[in-house]
Amino acid sequence: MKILIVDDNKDITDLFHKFLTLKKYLVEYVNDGKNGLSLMQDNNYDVLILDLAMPNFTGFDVLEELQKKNKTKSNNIIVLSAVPLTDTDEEMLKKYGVKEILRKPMELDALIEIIETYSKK
Amino acid sequence: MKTSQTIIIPFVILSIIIISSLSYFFINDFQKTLTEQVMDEIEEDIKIKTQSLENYFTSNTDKTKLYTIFPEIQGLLKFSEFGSSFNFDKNEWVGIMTMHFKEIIPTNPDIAQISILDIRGEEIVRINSDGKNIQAVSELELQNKNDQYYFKDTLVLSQNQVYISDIEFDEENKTPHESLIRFATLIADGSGENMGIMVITHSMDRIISSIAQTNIGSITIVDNNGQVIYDENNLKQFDSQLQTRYNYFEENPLFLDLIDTTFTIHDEEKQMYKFWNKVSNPNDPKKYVVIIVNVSQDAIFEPIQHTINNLYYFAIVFILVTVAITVILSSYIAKPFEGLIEGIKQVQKGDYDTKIKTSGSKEAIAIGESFNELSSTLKVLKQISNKYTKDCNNQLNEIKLTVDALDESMCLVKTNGDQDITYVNDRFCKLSGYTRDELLDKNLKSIQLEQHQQGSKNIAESILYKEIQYEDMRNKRKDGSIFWTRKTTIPIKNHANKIIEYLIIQENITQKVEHNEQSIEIERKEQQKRHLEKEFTKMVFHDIRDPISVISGNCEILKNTSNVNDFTENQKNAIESLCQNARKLDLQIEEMLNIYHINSHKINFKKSTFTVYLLIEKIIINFSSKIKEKQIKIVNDIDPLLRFSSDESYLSQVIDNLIQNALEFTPKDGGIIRINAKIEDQKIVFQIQDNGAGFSFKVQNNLLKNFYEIDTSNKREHKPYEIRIIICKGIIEELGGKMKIESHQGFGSTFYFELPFEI
Repeated sequence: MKILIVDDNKDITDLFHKFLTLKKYLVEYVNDGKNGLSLMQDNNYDVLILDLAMPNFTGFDVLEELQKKNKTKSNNIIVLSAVPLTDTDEEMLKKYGVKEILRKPMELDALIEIIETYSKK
Repeated sequence: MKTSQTIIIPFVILSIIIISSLSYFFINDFQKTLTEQVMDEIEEDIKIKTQSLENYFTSNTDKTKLYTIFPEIQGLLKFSEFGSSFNFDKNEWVGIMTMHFKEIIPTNPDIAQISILDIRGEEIVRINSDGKNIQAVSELELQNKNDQYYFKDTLVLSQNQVYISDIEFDEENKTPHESLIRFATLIADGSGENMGIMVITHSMDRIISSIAQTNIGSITIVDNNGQVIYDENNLKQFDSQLQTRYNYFEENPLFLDLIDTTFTIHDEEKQMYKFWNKVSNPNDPKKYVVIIVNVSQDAIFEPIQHTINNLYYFAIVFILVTVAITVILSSYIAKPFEGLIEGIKQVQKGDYDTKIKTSGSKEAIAIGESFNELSSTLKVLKQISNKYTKDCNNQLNEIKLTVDALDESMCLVKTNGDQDITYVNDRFCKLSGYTRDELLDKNLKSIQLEQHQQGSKNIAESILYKEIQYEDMRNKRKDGSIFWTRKTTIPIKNHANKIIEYLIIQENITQKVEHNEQSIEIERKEQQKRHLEKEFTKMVFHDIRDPISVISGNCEILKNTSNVNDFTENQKNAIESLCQNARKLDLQIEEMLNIYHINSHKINFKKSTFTVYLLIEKIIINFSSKIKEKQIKIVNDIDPLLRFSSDESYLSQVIDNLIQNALEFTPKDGGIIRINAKIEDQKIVFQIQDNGAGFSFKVQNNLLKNFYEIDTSNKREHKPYEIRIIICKGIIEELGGKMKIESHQGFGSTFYFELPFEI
């Protein structure tokens, strides 16, 4: 499975990369929304792990652009948030086709479980 | 009365005219008819008289003929012819004749004389009668009459013809002269030879006087010579002084021509009618008598007059009766009008109780009743209108008072349709800084600057104020300073719906506006501050959490490495410690985030319905290790059937925190924590009870007091249990509930919180 991680914090992307690679997944990562978007447009990924709170181009912006290009449905998107989200935000995310919303810090085991459910489908 | 007069007068005039004209024509006609009748009567009378005369002639003629048949008469004549050769006693014969005639005469009282003449004209015998005495004249008096015209005329006649003479007058005797007429006839012997003539002289007086009888007018009888046989006026017969006999034809020359042609003339000049008829001598048409009736118009009219007068009287009476009837009728008709007019006058004076009689004709009754109804209605209407007038006056007074009050309390301006100021009250003068005179010269627009953008309708100045408009206006005083007003423009329209003036109420809102502007500014700054705070906080949390995530994550990686035995015991412990602390740190941040959200009232609760008992059980399970460790019992006394709607997660947090607190203070071995929830008064009350150390009163108060002082920037440090209580209180209050503590030092504590109960 190909996984793309988009987060502005390098430590987090390194962490996920290490962790998921250990679990035998193909992992690519970027640290900014725009690059993430272009990668999403050019390639196909099975799972997208997207951080919301990013400077300049937020996770929301990425999702909006993806939706315009109709790429949201075909992917499994997991969204990470450091801040609790309002109902409106959650609805909006659901509209964008977000499958899971995880709070930071999340337990990495939980993340693995979720990804595994996607790999089975 | 006028109505009846209006009816009466034309009626009367009309009836007078009609009846008069009718009467006139009728009476005229009648008069004519009567006149004709009279004239017919006269003519009739004349005819009768004519007939009388004719009869007179005829009968006398016959009688004359008859008398000649006496044999004595023949014998006498014979005697005279032969002289006295016979033994004939003439005297005896005369005596016999006399006796004979004496017998005849009484039956014919008119006979004045009978004489027998021989063929030579010698009177043989003459007998005179004056009606009483009948005497034969002596022989000596006998005369020869052969020169008399009648003798001559008779001689030429044939036997059986009787000669009727002209009418003669006995001029020897007194006037009026007796009128005489002679009937003569030939006497023949048996052989037919004329022997002589018998002459019977009649007096016509009697017949004439019988003819002269007339009801109307006077009769004049004239013979064919013009002699007046009879006239009421004796002078017309014979003038004894002048010894002349009046000749009618000479005096009335035209009459002679008329005798045969017409029978009536009307002499208008003399106002006389003349009726006549000619009675011819049957034996000699040349001889005739004319009976003339002279009637004056008056005489004709006289009998009529009476009738006519009666008719006139009748007509007058008729008119009067008509007038009377008309008067009665018209008053009958006019009466209801009079009543009505009278009633109306009364009503006009204001007496609505007046009623008019309802009697008489159907129409009169109808009028009366309608009027009475009307006056009652009017009365009621008057009362209503009085009441309305009163109410209106009251309202007017109220309005006046209101306006006065307004004037006192508000700034009032009145303008015309172009907003030229027509009136200002003192307050406005004060507010605007102008004098009254200055303002009355101005247009309101010259004081206004612009509309206040906030809180006003954007009305372009060019649009007329058609309805009441509210605007906030920025105005300039005389000295140039600015003042704000809330301007209410009330257009006053006239009955044609045209705006004639504006009433403008100006409320001075200068202070409010300024204050508003300040508070708007403050508000704006506050908002900005909050926004910045929010962003800052977000950033802070984000930046804190990411490293923590990294630390936790890496710890897990470390833990998950297959070569776990590569680590020493110390290293393993270090890793474990790292993980735990990272976790704690995270939880701490979570709590701080919660507090922050509670402070900023930013929690979005997600409500769901759940079984309370199960919720508590879930929470208790989390504490299972701790419970074991401390040998404490947690008892769940909640009714398993109790269901409640709320935010599960936040409620769990509260209970979790309270349990944590309870655990901290409950002693080992025998410590019990009881959790209960009940419904009271539409509220659900939770209670967490422990038998721990409890708090003093002072501490209790402090605990509950400090909640609003929590701030991330607060320097005072709070103990964990305090923080928990603070968080719980915040969440409970956000959920719309209340929290309470009951504690006695040494006897444990019970934490209560109540929430509005919903399912």
